Amino acid sequence: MDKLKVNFNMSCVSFTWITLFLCIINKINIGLTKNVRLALYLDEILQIYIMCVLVQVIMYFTDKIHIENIILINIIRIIDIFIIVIPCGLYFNLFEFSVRQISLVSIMNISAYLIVTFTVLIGNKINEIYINSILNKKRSE
Amino acid sequence: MKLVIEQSLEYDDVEITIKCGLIDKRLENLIEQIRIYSFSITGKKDNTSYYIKLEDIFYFESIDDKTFIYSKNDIYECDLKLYELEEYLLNTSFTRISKSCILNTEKLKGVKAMINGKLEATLYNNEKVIINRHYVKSVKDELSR
Repeated sequence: MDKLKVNFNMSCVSFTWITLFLCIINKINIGLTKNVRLALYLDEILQIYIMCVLVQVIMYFTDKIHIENIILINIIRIIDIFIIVIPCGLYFNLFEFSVRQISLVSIMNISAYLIVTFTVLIGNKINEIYINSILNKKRSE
Repeated sequence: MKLVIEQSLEYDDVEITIKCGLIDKRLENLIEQIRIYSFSITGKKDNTSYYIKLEDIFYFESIDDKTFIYSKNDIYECDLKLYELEEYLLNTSFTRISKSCILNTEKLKGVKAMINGKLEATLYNNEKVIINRHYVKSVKDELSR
């Protein structure tokens, strides 16, 4: 099970890296991305990546606010996502300002947050298992 | 390993001398235990100063520029800052777990993963402290040392 968790994390990192790598190759135009359909979406992928980085930047600062309540922490983090995604998405023309599209983006934001949180929890769970196994080993010695 | 104990009323203080070829893992652990046993820190409580043995300390915490010592049931105020304690407690079982806390890993009963990347540590007195995600690696290193 632990190995599966590590593999899942690795697949997330490798997907991010491959997508970014394709974006960079496409940007510097050395003709490696022959798949036109993929190339068409690379700008959008890059814009989404910029938004993800900006969300992390804003979260870095809001995480400094000393809040113990886990529900409040999560609400603030979701607000962070909306503060970045809505204006940037409109600026990059990724979606339109309509009830239907904003609702769709909201579902996407919240689901992405839940998936990332779950991924972080998996990484953290690995640390938990590792530390507890050392403590158990020490106790049995 | 040879153990020599000389007991006499002539000695005022306890002195431990280790004669060895190389310091291996087991010896390193023994030295760490001796260090913890031989050090003590002064803590104040109700205008009285107490010498607190390191082995009795669960963790140090800094609140509003003041440092507090937490033992199993008591809290004392300490004159030293956390960074000074960190230097003083080098090569012992104490390790930084957040900006404001130094934990004695010998008092750690178990940890639980939290949703925000932090770990909730349960100590042997059932008190809970938070291990900040930036310090998880140093805790792992300290425990596997």
